[in-house]
Amino acid sequence: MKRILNISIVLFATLNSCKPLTGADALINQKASLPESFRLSELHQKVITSFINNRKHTTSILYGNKVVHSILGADRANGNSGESFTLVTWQQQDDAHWFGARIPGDLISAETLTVADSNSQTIYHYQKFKGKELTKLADTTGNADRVRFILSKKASIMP
Amino acid sequence: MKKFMLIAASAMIILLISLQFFRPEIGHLSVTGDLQAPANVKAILVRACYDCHSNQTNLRWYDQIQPVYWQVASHVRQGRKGLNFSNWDKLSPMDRKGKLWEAVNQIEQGAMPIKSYAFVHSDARVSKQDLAVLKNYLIGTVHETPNDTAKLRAREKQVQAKADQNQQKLPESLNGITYIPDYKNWQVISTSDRFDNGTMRVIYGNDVAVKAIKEHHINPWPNGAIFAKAAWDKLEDEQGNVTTGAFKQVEFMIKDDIKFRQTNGWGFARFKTPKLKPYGKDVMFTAECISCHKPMKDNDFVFTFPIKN
Repeated sequence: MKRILNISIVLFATLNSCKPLTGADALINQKASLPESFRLSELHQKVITSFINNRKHTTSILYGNKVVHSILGADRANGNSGESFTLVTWQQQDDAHWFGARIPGDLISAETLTVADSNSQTIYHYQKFKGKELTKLADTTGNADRVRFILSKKASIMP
Repeated sequence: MKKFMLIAASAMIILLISLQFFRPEIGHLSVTGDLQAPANVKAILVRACYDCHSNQTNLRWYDQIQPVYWQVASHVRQGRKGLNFSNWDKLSPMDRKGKLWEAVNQIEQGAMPIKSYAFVHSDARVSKQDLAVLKNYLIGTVHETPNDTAKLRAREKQVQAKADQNQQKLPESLNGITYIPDYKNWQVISTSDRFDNGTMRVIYGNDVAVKAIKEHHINPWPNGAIFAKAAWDKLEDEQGNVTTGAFKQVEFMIKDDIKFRQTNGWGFARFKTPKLKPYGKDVMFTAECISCHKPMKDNDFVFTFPIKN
Protein backbone atom coordinates (compact mmCIF):
# COMPACT_ATOMS: atom_id res chain seq x y z
CA MET A 1 0.00 0.00 0.00
CA LYS A 2 2.82 2.36 0.92
CA ARG A 3 4.41 1.68 -2.48
CA ILE A 4 1.22 2.54 -4.30
CA LEU A 5 0.91 5.72 -2.28
CA ASN A 6 4.51 6.61 -3.11
CA ILE A 7 3.92 5.98 -6.78
CA SER A 8 0.91 8.26 -6.85
CA ILE A 9 2.80 11.00 -4.99
CA VAL A 10 5.61 10.72 -7.53
CA LEU A 11 3.15 11.11 -10.38
CA PHE A 12 1.94 14.35 -8.83
CA ALA A 13 5.45 15.49 -8.01
CA THR A 14 6.67 15.02 -11.58
CA LEU A 15 3.75 17.04 -12.85
CA ASN A 16 4.40 19.87 -10.44
CA SER A 17 8.20 19.88 -10.19
CA CYS A 18 9.37 23.43 -10.69
CA LYS A 19 12.55 24.95 -9.31
CA PRO A 20 13.54 28.61 -9.66
CA LEU A 21 16.56 29.35 -11.83
CA THR A 22 19.82 30.20 -10.08
CA GLY A 23 20.37 33.96 -9.87
CA ALA A 24 23.15 35.61 -11.91
CA ASP A 25 24.84 36.88 -8.73
CA ALA A 26 25.35 33.33 -7.56
CA LEU A 27 26.75 32.26 -10.93
CA ILE A 28 29.20 35.07 -11.61
CA ASN A 29 32.58 34.33 -10.09
CA GLN A 30 32.71 37.49 -8.00
CA LYS A 31 35.89 36.85 -6.04
CA ALA A 32 37.86 36.07 -9.18
CA SER A 33 36.49 39.06 -11.09
CA LEU A 34 38.80 41.98 -11.86
CA PRO A 35 37.90 45.50 -10.70
CA GLU A 36 36.36 47.49 -13.52
CA SER A 37 38.99 50.21 -13.06
CA PHE A 38 41.69 47.83 -14.31
CA ARG A 39 40.06 47.76 -17.79
CA LEU A 40 41.68 44.53 -18.89
CA SER A 41 39.08 43.93 -21.57
CA GLU A 42 39.91 47.26 -23.19
CA LEU A 43 43.55 46.31 -23.73
CA HIS A 44 42.45 43.71 -26.30
CA GLN A 45 45.35 41.48 -25.48
CA LYS A 46 45.16 37.82 -26.42
CA VAL A 47 46.04 34.74 -24.38
CA ILE A 48 49.64 33.59 -24.81
CA THR A 49 49.41 30.77 -22.33
CA SER A 50 47.95 29.65 -19.02
CA PHE A 51 49.75 27.90 -16.19
CA ILE A 52 49.20 26.47 -12.72
CA ASN A 53 51.36 26.17 -9.62
CA ASN A 54 50.42 22.90 -7.94
CA ARG A 55 52.25 23.77 -4.71
CA LYS A 56 50.75 27.22 -4.23
CA HIS A 57 47.46 26.19 -5.86
CA THR A 58 47.43 29.22 -8.11
CA THR A 59 46.31 29.56 -11.70
CA SER A 60 47.47 32.24 -14.14
CA ILE A 61 46.82 33.60 -17.59
CA LEU A 62 49.44 35.47 -19.58
CA TYR A 63 48.12 37.86 -22.21
CA GLY A 64 50.08 39.68 -24.91
CA ASN A 65 49.41 42.47 -27.39
CA LYS A 66 49.59 42.19 -31.20
CA VAL A 67 53.35 42.69 -31.26
CA VAL A 68 53.87 39.71 -28.96
CA HIS A 69 51.60 37.52 -31.07
CA SER A 70 53.26 38.52 -34.33
CA ILE A 71 56.60 37.15 -33.15
CA LEU A 72 55.50 34.17 -31.05
CA GLY A 73 57.78 31.22 -31.48
CA ALA A 74 60.71 33.43 -32.44
CA ASP A 75 63.47 34.15 -29.95
CA ARG A 76 62.03 36.58 -27.51
CA ALA A 77 64.05 35.82 -24.40
CA ASN A 78 64.95 39.49 -23.98
CA GLY A 79 61.68 40.85 -25.23
CA ASN A 80 61.14 43.10 -28.23
CA SER A 81 60.24 46.71 -28.48
CA GLY A 82 56.50 47.31 -28.52
CA GLU A 83 55.61 44.15 -26.66
CA SER A 84 53.09 44.44 -23.90
CA PHE A 85 52.07 41.72 -21.44
CA THR A 86 49.52 41.25 -18.67
CA LEU A 87 49.75 38.35 -16.23
CA VAL A 88 46.76 37.65 -13.98
CA THR A 89 47.02 35.18 -11.08
CA TRP A 90 44.32 33.68 -8.90
CA GLN A 91 44.19 31.33 -5.94
CA GLN A 92 42.45 28.15 -7.06
CA GLN A 93 39.15 26.99 -5.62
CA ASP A 94 37.14 23.80 -6.07
CA ASP A 95 34.57 24.00 -8.83
CA ALA A 96 31.15 23.70 -7.20
CA HIS A 97 29.75 22.49 -10.53
CA TRP A 98 32.30 19.78 -11.25
CA PHE A 99 33.98 17.49 -8.77
CA GLY A 100 37.38 16.97 -10.42
CA ALA A 101 38.03 20.59 -11.42
CA ARG A 102 39.58 23.69 -9.86
CA ILE A 103 38.69 27.16 -11.08
CA PRO A 104 39.96 30.67 -10.26
CA GLY A 105 39.15 31.80 -6.72
CA ASP A 106 40.46 34.94 -4.99
CA LEU A 107 42.26 37.35 -7.28
CA ILE A 108 45.90 37.53 -6.15
CA SER A 109 47.61 39.87 -8.58
CA ALA A 110 47.96 41.37 -12.02
CA GLU A 111 51.33 42.25 -13.48
CA THR A 112 51.99 44.39 -16.53
CA LEU A 113 55.15 44.53 -18.59
CA THR A 114 55.96 46.67 -21.59
CA VAL A 115 59.16 46.51 -23.55
CA ALA A 116 60.59 49.59 -25.25
CA ASP A 117 63.78 50.62 -27.00
CA SER A 118 65.60 53.76 -25.99
CA ASN A 119 68.96 54.64 -27.54
CA SER A 120 69.36 51.02 -28.62
CA GLN A 121 68.80 49.91 -25.05
CA THR A 122 65.89 47.69 -24.05
CA ILE A 123 63.79 49.24 -21.30
CA TYR A 124 61.32 47.18 -19.27
CA HIS A 125 58.37 48.80 -17.58
CA TYR A 126 57.06 46.38 -15.00
CA GLN A 127 54.26 47.02 -12.54
CA LYS A 128 52.53 44.77 -10.03
CA PHE A 129 48.97 45.21 -8.77
CA LYS A 130 47.84 43.25 -5.77
CA GLY A 131 44.69 41.95 -4.11
CA LYS A 132 41.01 42.04 -4.90
CA GLU A 133 41.20 45.75 -5.80
CA LEU A 134 44.47 45.35 -7.73
CA THR A 135 46.28 48.03 -5.76
CA LYS A 136 49.43 49.37 -7.41
CA LEU A 137 52.55 48.19 -5.55
CA ALA A 138 55.39 50.65 -5.00
CA ASP A 139 57.87 47.97 -3.91
CA THR A 140 60.14 47.01 -6.81
CA THR A 141 61.99 44.11 -5.14
CA GLY A 142 62.19 41.10 -7.38
CA ASN A 143 60.96 42.95 -10.45
CA ALA A 144 63.85 41.77 -12.65
CA ASP A 145 62.99 38.15 -11.82
CA ARG A 146 59.37 38.70 -12.75
CA VAL A 147 60.37 40.29 -16.07
CA ARG A 148 62.51 37.24 -16.86
CA PHE A 149 59.71 34.93 -15.73
CA ILE A 150 57.14 36.57 -18.01
CA LEU A 151 59.48 36.65 -21.00
CA SER A 152 60.42 32.99 -20.49
CA LYS A 153 56.87 31.71 -20.93
CA LYS A 154 56.27 29.58 -24.00
CA ALA A 155 53.07 30.08 -25.96
CA SER A 156 50.34 27.42 -25.78
CA ILE A 157 49.66 25.48 -28.95
CA MET A 158 46.54 26.96 -30.52
CA PRO A 159 45.53 25.78 -33.96
CA MET B 1 -25.65 7.94 -12.22
CA LYS B 2 -24.63 4.96 -10.12
CA LYS B 3 -24.86 2.75 -13.19
CA PHE B 4 -22.66 5.12 -15.15
CA MET B 5 -20.01 5.05 -12.44
CA LEU B 6 -20.09 1.27 -12.44
CA ILE B 7 -19.60 1.09 -16.21
CA ALA B 8 -16.76 3.63 -16.06
CA ALA B 9 -15.02 1.73 -13.28
CA SER B 10 -15.36 -1.61 -15.11
CA ALA B 11 -14.02 -0.04 -18.29
CA MET B 12 -10.98 1.28 -16.37
CA ILE B 13 -10.32 -2.13 -14.86
CA ILE B 14 -10.59 -3.86 -18.23
CA LEU B 15 -8.26 -1.26 -19.75
CA LEU B 16 -5.70 -1.74 -16.97
CA ILE B 17 -5.83 -5.52 -17.34
CA SER B 18 -5.44 -5.36 -21.12
CA LEU B 19 -2.53 -2.93 -20.70
CA GLN B 20 -0.65 -5.64 -18.82
CA PHE B 21 -0.31 -7.60 -22.07
CA PHE B 22 1.63 -4.84 -23.78
CA ARG B 23 5.15 -5.34 -22.57
CA PRO B 24 8.03 -3.54 -24.26
CA GLU B 25 11.12 -5.73 -24.25
CA ILE B 26 13.96 -4.49 -22.04
CA GLY B 27 16.02 -7.53 -22.86
CA HIS B 28 18.27 -9.61 -20.69
CA LEU B 29 21.57 -8.89 -22.37
CA SER B 30 24.84 -10.50 -21.48
CA VAL B 31 27.53 -9.10 -19.24
CA THR B 32 30.61 -8.85 -21.45
CA GLY B 33 32.85 -7.30 -18.85
CA ASP B 34 31.64 -5.92 -15.54
CA LEU B 35 33.00 -2.82 -13.82
CA GLN B 36 36.03 -3.55 -11.64
CA ALA B 37 36.22 -1.48 -8.47
CA PRO B 38 36.89 -1.96 -4.73
CA ALA B 39 34.05 -3.88 -3.03
CA ASN B 40 32.65 -0.93 -1.03
CA VAL B 41 32.62 1.31 -4.12
CA LYS B 42 31.07 -1.32 -6.31
CA ALA B 43 28.38 -2.16 -3.75
CA ILE B 44 27.14 1.46 -3.86
CA LEU B 45 27.14 1.57 -7.66
CA VAL B 46 25.37 -1.80 -7.95
CA ARG B 47 22.69 -0.77 -5.49
CA ALA B 48 22.14 2.76 -6.84
CA CYS B 49 22.87 2.49 -10.57
CA TYR B 50 22.76 -1.08 -11.87
CA ASP B 51 18.99 -1.37 -12.34
CA CYS B 52 19.17 1.11 -15.22
CA HIS B 53 22.89 1.22 -16.02
CA SER B 54 23.73 -2.46 -16.44
CA ASN B 55 22.35 -5.61 -18.02
CA GLN B 56 21.69 -6.94 -14.51
CA THR B 57 18.37 -5.14 -14.13
CA ASN B 58 16.44 -6.22 -11.07
CA LEU B 59 12.78 -5.29 -11.52
CA ARG B 60 10.54 -5.22 -8.43
CA TRP B 61 6.95 -6.48 -8.72
CA TYR B 62 5.57 -2.94 -8.71
CA ASP B 63 7.87 -2.02 -11.64
CA GLN B 64 6.20 -4.67 -13.75
CA ILE B 65 2.67 -3.30 -13.54
CA GLN B 66 1.48 -1.22 -16.49
CA PRO B 67 1.51 1.71 -17.07
CA VAL B 68 4.50 2.04 -14.68
CA TYR B 69 6.35 -0.67 -16.59
CA TRP B 70 6.46 1.48 -19.72
CA GLN B 71 8.29 4.24 -17.89
CA VAL B 72 10.64 1.82 -16.14
CA ALA B 73 11.48 0.08 -19.45
CA SER B 74 12.20 3.42 -21.07
CA HIS B 75 14.43 4.46 -18.12
CA VAL B 76 16.38 1.22 -18.43
CA ARG B 77 16.84 1.52 -22.20
CA GLN B 78 17.94 5.18 -21.93
CA GLY B 79 20.12 4.42 -18.94
CA ARG B 80 21.99 1.60 -20.64
CA LYS B 81 22.55 3.74 -23.70
CA GLY B 82 24.27 6.44 -21.66
CA LEU B 83 26.26 4.22 -19.34
CA ASN B 84 26.36 0.43 -19.09
CA PHE B 85 28.55 -1.11 -16.39
CA SER B 86 28.01 -4.58 -17.92
CA ASN B 87 29.89 -3.61 -21.08
CA TRP B 88 32.71 -1.90 -19.24
CA ASP B 89 35.27 -3.81 -21.34
CA LYS B 90 34.01 -2.05 -24.47
CA LEU B 91 35.31 1.30 -23.21
CA SER B 92 38.87 2.57 -23.41
CA PRO B 93 40.58 3.11 -20.02
CA MET B 94 40.25 6.88 -20.62
CA ASP B 95 36.51 6.60 -21.30
CA ARG B 96 35.97 4.40 -18.24
CA LYS B 97 37.60 7.05 -16.09
CA GLY B 98 35.58 9.78 -17.75
CA LYS B 99 32.30 7.92 -17.29
CA LEU B 100 32.95 7.31 -13.59
CA TRP B 101 33.78 10.96 -12.87
CA GLU B 102 30.72 12.01 -14.82
CA ALA B 103 28.53 9.52 -12.93
CA VAL B 104 29.74 10.78 -9.54
CA ASN B 105 29.20 14.38 -10.67
CA GLN B 106 25.67 13.53 -11.77
CA ILE B 107 25.03 12.11 -8.31
CA GLU B 108 26.62 15.06 -6.51
CA GLN B 109 24.59 17.60 -8.51
CA GLY B 110 21.40 15.68 -7.72
CA ALA B 111 20.67 14.69 -11.33
CA MET B 112 21.10 10.97 -10.62
CA PRO B 113 19.47 8.74 -9.61
CA ILE B 114 16.40 10.29 -11.27
CA LYS B 115 14.29 11.78 -8.47
CA SER B 116 11.04 10.01 -9.33
CA TYR B 117 12.91 6.70 -9.55
CA ALA B 118 14.74 7.13 -6.24
CA PHE B 119 11.50 8.12 -4.55
CA VAL B 120 9.97 4.73 -5.20
CA HIS B 121 13.23 2.76 -5.13
CA SER B 122 14.56 4.13 -1.88
CA ASP B 123 17.52 1.74 -1.99
CA ALA B 124 18.81 3.57 -5.08
CA ARG B 125 19.40 6.75 -3.09
CA VAL B 126 23.03 7.72 -2.50
CA SER B 127 23.67 9.04 0.99
CA LYS B 128 26.31 11.67 1.84
CA GLN B 129 28.53 8.91 3.21
CA ASP B 130 28.13 6.85 0.03
CA LEU B 131 29.04 9.89 -2.05
CA ALA B 132 32.14 10.47 0.09
CA VAL B 133 33.22 6.86 -0.53
CA LEU B 134 32.83 7.31 -4.28
CA LYS B 135 34.68 10.65 -4.29
CA ASN B 136 37.55 9.32 -2.19
CA TYR B 137 37.93 6.41 -4.55
CA LEU B 138 38.15 8.74 -7.56
CA ILE B 139 40.60 11.10 -5.84
CA GLY B 140 42.80 8.06 -5.19
CA THR B 141 42.96 7.32 -8.91
CA VAL B 142 44.50 10.71 -9.76
CA HIS B 143 48.24 10.43 -10.37
CA GLU B 144 50.08 13.49 -11.57
CA THR B 145 53.48 12.50 -12.92
CA PRO B 146 56.15 15.19 -13.14
CA ASN B 147 58.06 15.32 -16.43
CA ASP B 148 55.75 12.84 -18.13
CA THR B 149 57.81 11.95 -21.21
CA ALA B 150 54.85 10.77 -23.29
CA LYS B 151 53.10 14.11 -22.73
CA LEU B 152 56.29 16.08 -23.41
CA ARG B 153 56.74 14.20 -26.66
CA ALA B 154 53.11 14.76 -27.67
CA ARG B 155 53.60 18.51 -27.29
CA GLU B 156 56.87 18.48 -29.21
CA LYS B 157 55.22 16.57 -32.04
CA GLN B 158 52.48 19.18 -32.33
CA VAL B 159 55.03 22.02 -32.32
CA GLN B 160 56.91 20.32 -35.18
CA ALA B 161 53.71 19.64 -37.12
CA LYS B 162 52.44 23.20 -36.74
CA ALA B 163 54.93 24.60 -39.26
CA ASP B 164 53.54 22.64 -42.19
CA GLN B 165 49.91 22.98 -41.25
CA ASN B 166 47.83 25.04 -43.62
CA GLN B 167 44.16 24.40 -43.30
CA GLN B 168 42.22 25.82 -46.23
CA LYS B 169 38.63 25.09 -45.32
CA LEU B 170 37.16 25.49 -41.84
CA PRO B 171 35.96 22.17 -40.42
CA GLU B 172 32.28 21.67 -39.64
CA SER B 173 30.75 19.57 -36.85
CA LEU B 174 28.19 16.86 -37.62
CA ASN B 175 25.36 19.10 -36.41
CA GLY B 176 26.44 21.81 -38.86
CA ILE B 177 28.50 24.13 -36.67
CA THR B 178 31.52 25.66 -38.40
CA TYR B 179 34.71 26.04 -36.39
CA ILE B 180 35.17 29.65 -35.22
CA PRO B 181 38.89 30.57 -35.37
CA ASP B 182 38.11 34.03 -33.96
CA TYR B 183 37.65 32.66 -30.42
CA LYS B 184 41.31 33.44 -29.76
CA ASN B 185 40.41 37.16 -29.87
CA TRP B 186 37.63 36.81 -27.31
CA GLN B 187 37.80 37.56 -23.58
CA VAL B 188 38.71 34.87 -21.10
CA ILE B 189 35.80 34.17 -18.76
CA SER B 190 37.41 31.40 -16.72
CA THR B 191 39.99 28.65 -16.57
CA SER B 192 39.60 25.09 -15.37
CA ASP B 193 42.20 22.75 -13.89
CA ARG B 194 40.69 19.35 -14.67
CA PHE B 195 42.67 17.05 -12.39
CA ASP B 196 40.11 14.32 -13.09
CA ASN B 197 41.48 13.87 -16.61
CA GLY B 198 44.84 15.62 -16.59
CA THR B 199 43.89 18.58 -18.75
CA MET B 200 43.79 22.34 -18.28
CA ARG B 201 41.35 24.63 -20.02
CA VAL B 202 40.75 28.25 -20.93
CA ILE B 203 37.17 29.36 -21.45
CA TYR B 204 36.50 32.30 -23.77
CA GLY B 205 33.31 34.29 -24.30
CA ASN B 206 32.37 36.36 -27.36
CA ASP B 207 31.22 40.00 -27.08
CA VAL B 208 27.58 39.03 -26.52
CA ALA B 209 28.58 36.70 -23.68
CA VAL B 210 30.95 39.24 -22.07
CA LYS B 211 28.29 41.98 -22.23
CA ALA B 212 25.76 39.59 -20.66
CA ILE B 213 28.18 38.89 -17.80
CA LYS B 214 28.74 42.64 -17.20
CA GLU B 215 24.98 43.18 -17.10
CA HIS B 216 24.29 40.06 -15.02
CA HIS B 217 21.97 38.66 -17.70
CA ILE B 218 23.30 35.15 -17.77
CA ASN B 219 20.38 32.99 -16.75
CA PRO B 220 19.22 32.44 -19.37
CA TRP B 221 22.12 33.56 -21.56
CA PRO B 222 21.06 35.80 -24.50
CA ASN B 223 20.88 34.47 -28.03
CA GLY B 224 24.16 35.00 -29.82
CA ALA B 225 26.30 34.26 -26.75
CA ILE B 226 29.12 31.85 -27.60
CA PHE B 227 31.68 30.11 -25.41
CA ALA B 228 34.84 28.41 -26.55
CA LYS B 229 36.71 26.06 -24.27
CA ALA B 230 40.24 25.10 -25.30
CA ALA B 231 41.94 22.16 -23.58
CA TRP B 232 45.56 21.04 -23.26
CA ASP B 233 47.42 18.26 -21.50
CA LYS B 234 48.82 19.33 -18.15
CA LEU B 235 52.62 19.23 -18.13
CA GLU B 236 54.06 19.28 -14.62
CA ASP B 237 57.69 19.74 -13.60
CA GLU B 238 59.31 18.70 -10.31
CA GLN B 239 58.60 22.07 -8.70
CA GLY B 240 54.86 21.70 -9.30
CA ASN B 241 54.76 24.17 -12.21
CA VAL B 242 52.11 23.08 -14.66
CA THR B 243 52.15 24.36 -18.23
CA THR B 244 50.11 23.55 -21.31
CA GLY B 245 51.12 20.46 -23.24
CA ALA B 246 49.59 19.04 -26.40
CA PHE B 247 46.43 20.76 -27.62
CA LYS B 248 43.49 18.39 -27.05
CA GLN B 249 40.41 20.13 -28.38
CA VAL B 250 38.28 23.22 -28.53
CA GLU B 251 34.57 23.06 -27.72
CA PHE B 252 31.87 25.59 -28.57
CA MET B 253 28.47 26.33 -27.06
CA ILE B 254 26.35 28.66 -29.21
CA LYS B 255 23.13 30.04 -27.74
CA ASP B 256 20.15 30.19 -30.08
CA ASP B 257 16.92 29.06 -28.49
CA ILE B 258 15.18 28.68 -31.87
CA LYS B 259 17.84 27.12 -34.07
CA PHE B 260 19.05 24.79 -31.31
CA ARG B 261 15.71 24.25 -29.56
CA GLN B 262 16.17 20.49 -29.67
CA THR B 263 19.43 20.66 -27.70
CA ASN B 264 18.24 22.91 -24.86
CA GLY B 265 18.87 26.11 -26.81
CA TRP B 266 22.58 25.47 -27.31
CA GLY B 267 24.56 24.35 -30.33
CA PHE B 268 27.35 22.07 -29.16
CA ALA B 269 30.51 21.33 -31.13
CA ARG B 270 33.91 19.84 -30.37
CA PHE B 271 36.98 19.90 -32.62
CA LYS B 272 39.81 17.60 -31.63
CA THR B 273 43.60 17.85 -31.98
CA PRO B 274 45.37 20.61 -33.96
CA LYS B 275 43.76 19.06 -37.04
CA LEU B 276 40.39 20.16 -35.56
CA LYS B 277 38.67 16.88 -36.28
CA PRO B 278 34.90 17.16 -35.63
CA TYR B 279 33.87 14.94 -32.71
CA GLY B 280 31.32 12.14 -32.90
CA LYS B 281 30.19 9.32 -35.16
CA ASP B 282 26.91 10.93 -36.23
CA VAL B 283 24.72 13.90 -35.38
CA MET B 284 23.51 12.08 -32.26
CA PHE B 285 26.80 12.92 -30.54
CA THR B 286 24.90 15.85 -29.04
CA ALA B 287 23.02 13.38 -26.80
CA GLU B 288 26.30 13.02 -24.91
CA CYS B 289 26.61 16.80 -24.50
CA ILE B 290 23.02 17.11 -23.30
CA SER B 291 23.27 14.28 -20.82
CA CYS B 292 26.49 15.65 -19.26
CA HIS B 293 25.13 19.23 -19.07
CA LYS B 294 21.74 18.15 -17.69
CA PRO B 295 22.64 18.70 -14.01
CA MET B 296 23.14 22.39 -14.93
CA LYS B 297 19.53 22.84 -16.06
CA ASP B 298 18.92 25.57 -13.47
CA ASN B 299 21.94 27.48 -14.85
CA ASP B 300 20.90 27.40 -18.51
CA PHE B 301 23.03 24.24 -18.90
CA VAL B 302 26.31 26.12 -18.36
CA PHE B 303 29.00 24.80 -15.99
CA THR B 304 31.28 27.86 -16.06
CA PHE B 305 31.14 30.47 -13.30
CA PRO B 306 32.13 33.46 -15.47
CA ILE B 307 34.65 36.10 -14.37
CA LYS B 308 34.16 39.80 -15.04
CA ASN B 309 37.21 41.43 -16.62
